Amino acid sequence: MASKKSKTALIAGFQNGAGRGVAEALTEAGWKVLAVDVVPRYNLKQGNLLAGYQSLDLTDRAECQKAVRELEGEHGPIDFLFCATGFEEDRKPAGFLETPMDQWEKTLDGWLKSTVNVCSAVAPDMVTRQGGKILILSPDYGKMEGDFILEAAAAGTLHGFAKSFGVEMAPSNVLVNCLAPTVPLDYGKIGATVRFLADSGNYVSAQVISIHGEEVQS
Amino acid sequence: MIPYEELKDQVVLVTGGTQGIGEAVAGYFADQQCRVAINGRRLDDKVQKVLDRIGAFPAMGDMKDPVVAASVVQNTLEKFGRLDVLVANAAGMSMKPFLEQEEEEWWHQVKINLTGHIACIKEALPRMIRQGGGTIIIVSSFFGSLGWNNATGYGSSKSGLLTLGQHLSKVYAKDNIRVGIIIPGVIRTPQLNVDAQDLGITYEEVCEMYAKDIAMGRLGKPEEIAEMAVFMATEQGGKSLSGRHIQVSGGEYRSTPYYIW
Repeated sequence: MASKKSKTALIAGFQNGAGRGVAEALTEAGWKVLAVDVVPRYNLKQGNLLAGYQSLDLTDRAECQKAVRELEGEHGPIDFLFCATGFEEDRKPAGFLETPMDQWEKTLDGWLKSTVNVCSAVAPDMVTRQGGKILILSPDYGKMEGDFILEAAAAGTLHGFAKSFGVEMAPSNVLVNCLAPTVPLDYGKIGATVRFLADSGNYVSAQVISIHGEEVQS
Repeated sequence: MIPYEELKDQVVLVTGGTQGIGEAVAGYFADQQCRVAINGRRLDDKVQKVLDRIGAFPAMGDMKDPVVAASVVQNTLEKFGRLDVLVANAAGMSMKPFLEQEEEEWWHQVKINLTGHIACIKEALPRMIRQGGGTIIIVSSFFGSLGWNNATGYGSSKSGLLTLGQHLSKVYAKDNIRVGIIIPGVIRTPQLNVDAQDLGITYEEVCEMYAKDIAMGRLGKPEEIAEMAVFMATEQGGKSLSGRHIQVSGGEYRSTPYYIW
């Protein structure tokens, strides 16, 4: 049974289907939802779901820490962090050999750097409070036709991060896991699973959890 | 526990449901207002108390015999007329070094844990397909996914259950059959008495010993497996996780799941 007390979630990377889907699922379940993303507030889709929002460059650690401090100052401690970073709306589809190195670095920053920055901002207070959950989205490209080598490599870095960080955090009752849905993503399934892990799943720690994506006709 | 209205009145059979994880799973499904059948080896006073507490139907029979295992499903179907969720949880374990264990004792575990459940699932699947779908939940073990000292038979059966679940999910997805696979870590259940005996220490000592190795610093509760089983039986939980597994282990035995489907 969900706690009657309203709990607070932060979504890093709100302006994508997964971020918004999770915001919807958590809001429905009675969570107070905050978010950070690079998009200015006035450009947000479904911004009405949010109790608080900060626009910032997630690849800048100091900016992330400042934003989290301000959000927690206004809205109270963050109980649950969902990282859905890395979606590059402007990324031109290109294969492994055709993608320039600076594009790869941007891809890696989007997935890995953004996530670790937000984690570095949120986790210390969770440790102090001896409780909290962090769930990191890492899309699984295994079922996609075509060349997604670099996207898969970038997203795959989060498996090792979530497990290693999970081990460091578990003694403080901070549960870190990675959610790996197959692409194309199904936001309904992601929302339901994230809501379950946020409200329940109190012994799931340091795992990569694979779920199905959208059903694709073969 | 999150209430799921959609589970109301569903028929659930839990093998090995008289104690430990199975008892908690049966109790949680009953709390969701499901109609629950519990399998155990035999009906005695202790089991009757569990049945009374949960309000469950007794589907007794020793899973080590495939004919008896199939009859457990038949009895449940006769009682309720349908089966929506089959939880393959019954397990036997005897820990010994492989070269020192009697062949019969070694195979006894595989018969209960794997073959018995194959018999159950073979009996349940056609009915589930005719009724438009169903959920099979397999309780595996990290002894299977990781391997463990003095547990070759148990480990073999449990890794077999994992691949069984993956392939069932793939082949029968077209029939709306979902297969969820749970890999519990060390859970505080009576089964730990076997570990204690194997190591020549007390139950509490074995709990303490395992807890030291677990990232979260404590053993799991049967209810923490039960809540996962309940989620896997929901529409979204089943669709999300069919053919996949989740380790509920307090941060121990970390792995990245790879799938054939």
